[in-house]
Amino acid sequence: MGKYSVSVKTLYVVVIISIFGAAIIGALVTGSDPEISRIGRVYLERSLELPNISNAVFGVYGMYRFYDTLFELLIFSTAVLGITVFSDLEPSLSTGSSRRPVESHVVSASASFLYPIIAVFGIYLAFSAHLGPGGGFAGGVIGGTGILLLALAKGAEETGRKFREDSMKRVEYLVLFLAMLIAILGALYPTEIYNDLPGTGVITLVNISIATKVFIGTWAILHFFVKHRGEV
Amino acid sequence: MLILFTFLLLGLSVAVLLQDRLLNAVILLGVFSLLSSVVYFVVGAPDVAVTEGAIGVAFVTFIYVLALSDQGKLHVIAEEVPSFLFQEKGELRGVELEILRDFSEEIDLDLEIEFVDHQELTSLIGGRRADMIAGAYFPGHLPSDGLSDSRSYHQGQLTKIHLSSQEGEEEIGVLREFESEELTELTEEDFASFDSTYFNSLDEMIREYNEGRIDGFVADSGRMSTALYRINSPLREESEIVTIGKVEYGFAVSSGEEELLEQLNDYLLESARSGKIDDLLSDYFR
Amino acid sequence: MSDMASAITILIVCVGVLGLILKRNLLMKLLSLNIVNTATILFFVLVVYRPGDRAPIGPDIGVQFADPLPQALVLTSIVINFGVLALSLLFTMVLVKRYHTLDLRKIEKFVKEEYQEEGQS
Repeated sequence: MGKYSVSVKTLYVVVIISIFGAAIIGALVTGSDPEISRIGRVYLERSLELPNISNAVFGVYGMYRFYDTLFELLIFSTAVLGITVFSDLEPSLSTGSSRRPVESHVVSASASFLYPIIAVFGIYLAFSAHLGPGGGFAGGVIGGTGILLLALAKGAEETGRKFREDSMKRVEYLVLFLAMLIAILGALYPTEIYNDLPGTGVITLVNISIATKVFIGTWAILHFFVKHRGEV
Repeated sequence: MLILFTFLLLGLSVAVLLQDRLLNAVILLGVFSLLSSVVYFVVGAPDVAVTEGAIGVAFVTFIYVLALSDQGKLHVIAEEVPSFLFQEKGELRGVELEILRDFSEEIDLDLEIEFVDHQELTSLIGGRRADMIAGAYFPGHLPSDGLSDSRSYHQGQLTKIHLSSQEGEEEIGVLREFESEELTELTEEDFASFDSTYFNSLDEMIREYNEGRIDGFVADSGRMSTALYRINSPLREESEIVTIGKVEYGFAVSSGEEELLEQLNDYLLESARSGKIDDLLSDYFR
Repeated sequence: MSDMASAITILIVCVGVLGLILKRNLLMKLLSLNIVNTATILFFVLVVYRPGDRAPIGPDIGVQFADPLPQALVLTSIVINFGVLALSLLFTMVLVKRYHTLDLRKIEKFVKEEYQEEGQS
């Protein structure tokens, strides 16, 4: 029996190595196309032609393919929903032990000083997604990093009081609804929504929806893990 | 340049998978993410680089470390035996506690001790609740399947208590685990000459002895010293303790935890050499 | 040159998949999955890379820009990976709470025993 299981494992290893070896040899032999892909060129040129947009990557995920991004946000919120539901189902996971955070003046003082800076940087990245590198994803996560610092300095409970779970959930669904609205309207009236950009504020709405969704998602994940531990 | 970076990434990914300690692997994965974010930046994908830097380096490492902090526990189940491992006014004490605490610090795990009685201990062997069994354990004390014995840290005696006035054939209480050949391995005396009765626990044997239904019982010296206080005083005056063999106190590790067993054996050998254990023993057994 | 680099990322994916199969520790499996994720993203970014590419940012069309399409696609997948990783870590923690081990073989043994006990009763 033991010998049998070992041989199955060896078989797996051999099969996987041969598959990937074939892929590597194929990649080396055929080589990649040195030209930029046709669709990529279209996106690049059209995005950069749009007024107010100088980041072609944003043009893809925020404008032309926002419908895809909407489903990405849906998957992310499903994962976060799974985490919140399971942390309710398994109350033993979040024991809520009221251990005090590490008593360190350096950490708490620097946290109250650094948190606004981190928050402003995250908001800046989120709102300048169409202009430079960064974007709503990074901005939201960096806002979450600020909360991590806050939880580190002041403890999970106080952070939980500052960012209440129920209000966060409400904002989350509001933002998801907003993203859906933009995506559907953009699919129905593409010229009105995307072309007449100055004045409509669609870019800002897209940025806000992505950044807020990602921020609340990371906050929920962080909140679960910190609550489970009782401290950071 | 690019190829150098990707080769470094390949080496790091192999290094992550070769780590024994999970914490090292997690930190190396953080380095892997950081380096890949540098590669994104080099090949003209700054958006991806910033996102990977924020998520892959900071958050993933952080939640791994938070999740790890729960896994790092050494679950020990133990019988309560005074001097070895016991509770006094709600506080854990004993020579084994000091050894275990030192050992768990050395391998970076939190120690968690759970007290159970002897019968429950037997039923828990090979179960999921424990990594180790402590509490004056010696080889042969429990059924051996599902357990591997560690090095011994202290040598004790196997003792028999009986009425000194008794002549001729005696009826002796023995723990059920000794039913097989284990007892003959531990003792020098031939037990065939005794009429042995088997019991599930020490408490039962003490009760029977107090009520005069058996003429004596066998226990190891650690347990015998406390059992003595629970024998009725007139009977205690008449009783006599005879050494009939040797036991080697150690720990039992659940089989399948070969790594833990190896670490424990190394630790015990090392601290026996440095004299740490002798100091501890002289504190508790004067 | 970018051919070689993307071939190496396939090799990293291979290493990650091997770790996924050969490692018995659940957290090690998750770490391998993480490596596979990162290496796949690397492959997507590197396979369209031409030497001298600049980030697709800026109004000037005349510059040689990198292909924005795969970048935008993998950007969303990084966030999804993070959410999925958090969810699977939660499930790992549930398993650890219940079986006090990370070893997959032991967990399988315990689950099998539980099924047998349920069948008997």
